Amino acid sequence: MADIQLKSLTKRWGAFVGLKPMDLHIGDGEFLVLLGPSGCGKTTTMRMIAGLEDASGGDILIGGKRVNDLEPKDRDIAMVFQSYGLYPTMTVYENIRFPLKVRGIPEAEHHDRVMRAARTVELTEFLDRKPAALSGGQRQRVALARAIVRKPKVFLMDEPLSNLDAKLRVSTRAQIKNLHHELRTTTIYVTHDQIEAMTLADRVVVMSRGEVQQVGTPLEIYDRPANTFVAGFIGSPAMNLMQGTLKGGVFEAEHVRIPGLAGPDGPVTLGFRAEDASIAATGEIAAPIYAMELLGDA
Amino acid sequence: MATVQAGGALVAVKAAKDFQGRIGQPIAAHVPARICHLFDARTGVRLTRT
Repeated sequence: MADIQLKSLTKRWGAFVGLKPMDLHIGDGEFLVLLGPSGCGKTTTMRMIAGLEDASGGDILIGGKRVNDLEPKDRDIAMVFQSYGLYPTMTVYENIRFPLKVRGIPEAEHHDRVMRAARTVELTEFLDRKPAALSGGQRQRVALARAIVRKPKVFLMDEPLSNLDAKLRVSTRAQIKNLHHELRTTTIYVTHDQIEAMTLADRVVVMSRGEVQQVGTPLEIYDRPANTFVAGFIGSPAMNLMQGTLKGGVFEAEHVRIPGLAGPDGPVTLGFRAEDASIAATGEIAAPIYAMELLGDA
Repeated sequence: MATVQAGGALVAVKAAKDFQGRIGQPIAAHVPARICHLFDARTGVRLTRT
């Protein structure tokens, strides 16, 4: 296991800035999620840590050692991708065993380590099958087993649940969470899905347009969004955001009057979460219904 | 979930399961100051939460 430090890490392609200077310390054993929409720089950041992409500037340290100039295979990391990356001609057993053969781990250890990894992700009954004979969730578990079999210092996971249907995503997400609880391996997980981020992460890094918007625990980010991007990106439904004017502690906008606020007079954006407000006989917002939706609990 | 147009945006408010609302029906929503977040209108940066 190891901590990871990013010091002024940047990425540029010509004039295009893919990642503005990023400073981050990821603790030993931490589960950190890079969260943001497409093009925000999250995958670029992960690929630089993995060594699949050169950094344009800054340093990457794993376990206190600068790794910028090391080949991916020499960084002692394991990656899991959304596309699984399994060898179709190999059985599940052979797929899991493959990293041990490549790295020259003594053959005498292979069977025990493959079986332990297979048990961890509940694959022991599928070891003789080829990937084509597995469901999407089972294939992703093979990819997870292949990642954990050689006990790397760091796991990097790039949207590993994106190819799974909604039900499988929930169960595989729970397995990843349990896996991290068991192994305590430092993990960086990339996703655009804020529910994955909020349920899996010790800390979340919210990114947009190549820039970190906020770093915090899921609760901190939910309760105290640093800006309107984070407020609008986190939560389902997203936070309501309205433009209006604050004067003497009273926010006013079309159909809205909310007193008792503290802030400077002038134009502001006001936000609140749908689940914190309620329908009432009288209230701070008065307007005709635009739409009604049944969401199960409301 | 009931949605209204207010402050130039679509605004969602949680409704009780048995709430029977129709599109176009006037409703009120209780939005106390303590649940509100304020952001700078130009930069979007958080100002405060009261």
